[in-house]
Amino acid sequence: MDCKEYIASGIIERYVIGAVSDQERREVECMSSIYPELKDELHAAQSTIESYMESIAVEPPAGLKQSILESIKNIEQDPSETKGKIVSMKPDKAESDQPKIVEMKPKSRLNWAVAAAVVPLIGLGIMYFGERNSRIEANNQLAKVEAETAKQFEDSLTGLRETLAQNEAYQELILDESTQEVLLAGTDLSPESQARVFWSDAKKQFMLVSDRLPAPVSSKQYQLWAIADGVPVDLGVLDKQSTIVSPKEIDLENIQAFAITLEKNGGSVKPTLDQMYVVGTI
Amino acid sequence: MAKETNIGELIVQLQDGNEAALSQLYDLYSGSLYGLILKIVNDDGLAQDILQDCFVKIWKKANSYSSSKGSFFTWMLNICRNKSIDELRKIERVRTGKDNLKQENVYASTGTETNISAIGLEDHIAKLTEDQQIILKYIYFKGYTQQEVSDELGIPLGTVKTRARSAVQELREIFVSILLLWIAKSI
Repeated sequence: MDCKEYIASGIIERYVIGAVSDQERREVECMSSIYPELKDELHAAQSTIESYMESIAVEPPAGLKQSILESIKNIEQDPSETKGKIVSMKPDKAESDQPKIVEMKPKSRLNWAVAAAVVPLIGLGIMYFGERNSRIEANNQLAKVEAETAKQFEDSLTGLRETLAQNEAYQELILDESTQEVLLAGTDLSPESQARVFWSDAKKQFMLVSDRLPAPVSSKQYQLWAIADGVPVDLGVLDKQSTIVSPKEIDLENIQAFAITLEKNGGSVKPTLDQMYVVGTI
Repeated sequence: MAKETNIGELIVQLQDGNEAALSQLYDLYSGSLYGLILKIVNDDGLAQDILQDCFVKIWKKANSYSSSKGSFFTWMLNICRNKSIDELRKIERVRTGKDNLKQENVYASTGTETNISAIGLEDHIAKLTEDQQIILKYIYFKGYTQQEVSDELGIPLGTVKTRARSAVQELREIFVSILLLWIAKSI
């Protein structure tokens, strides 16, 4: 099939707003699962509708979220077909909790004789184990102190190792000859703001230094975006405690710009266009 | 270090029955979903009920979503759109015969719309021709089939198809150009 021709027919655009017959709908769903080219086209068209819906977003009333979260508490999720078939590996509770009844009644004299012989042995055993227990306890105390010291040492060592690894990662990216520094300059909204992205197209890695952004209010958080092929791609929200985003891989082609917007905590799916603090093109 | 807003991870958690995941998805998407519902039913109280029902459905049916069905956002939008159109039809059935004259204005929703005014998006949406806007309104927001639109507006089916397609193309261009403007303006 000629994908280009199919796309040019406009059926995908019609599909995303529901302007197709049932037969056409099935056709688009089937075709796009076979041809990646169609799938991409379909996603691009869907993302247009998503952008449109973002643009008409209205904040629902405050109490609604709580009411929804309350109401799902008592609602079981429908299992998916495959999930239903998975057999639980947990033992059946009713079975394993049942106490095992052990027959203790001696059956013959011989058993009594054996028992008589065993009793002194048990006595000796108790003495031995008593002695052994106090030694074990002392050893345990010692081991505990040792373990604590070792743990403290280990913790600080781990901390140092992490810092070192982090610094090495920074250095490796920043010193790489393929890396370029992209200066994100403050917008009209916040002319004083500034941030720097170090981006290596060859390594597909970036890191961010954002030490010159105003502290956000508690309900807001900064979010980093790449603009690739004219489309904003979420690169994650910025930790409020840290002004550095460690090197991260991103699989993006044709990045044109990086930008930071101020979003609600947890970030947004699409950037809030009038809340952009800094931006810089490559 | 940045915590990634990883939608994929959230979906897996949701499918595992994690209520906190639903809460996070609500924070991310409820505005858009509510905006869509409001635009369709144009009634705050009803829109809230629908949003609640839809989130319950999203929770219940989470396992039926798979990425092969497209994006999770679109999946949720479709749930909300279908439910809202169902409700709208119920109302219209009751209303039919009573006040046929009253036009439901799908474009005047009640709540305050976010984002739009600040960047002049309204002007851009206005770039859609009136014909394109009407097609979007009937098909996407009212759930008419192409044939029904053709009958209702007295235009050929082929014209409905062409306008439906060009409306989406135009929207796509609008959003790309807004983005480029946004970049250009701020450099």
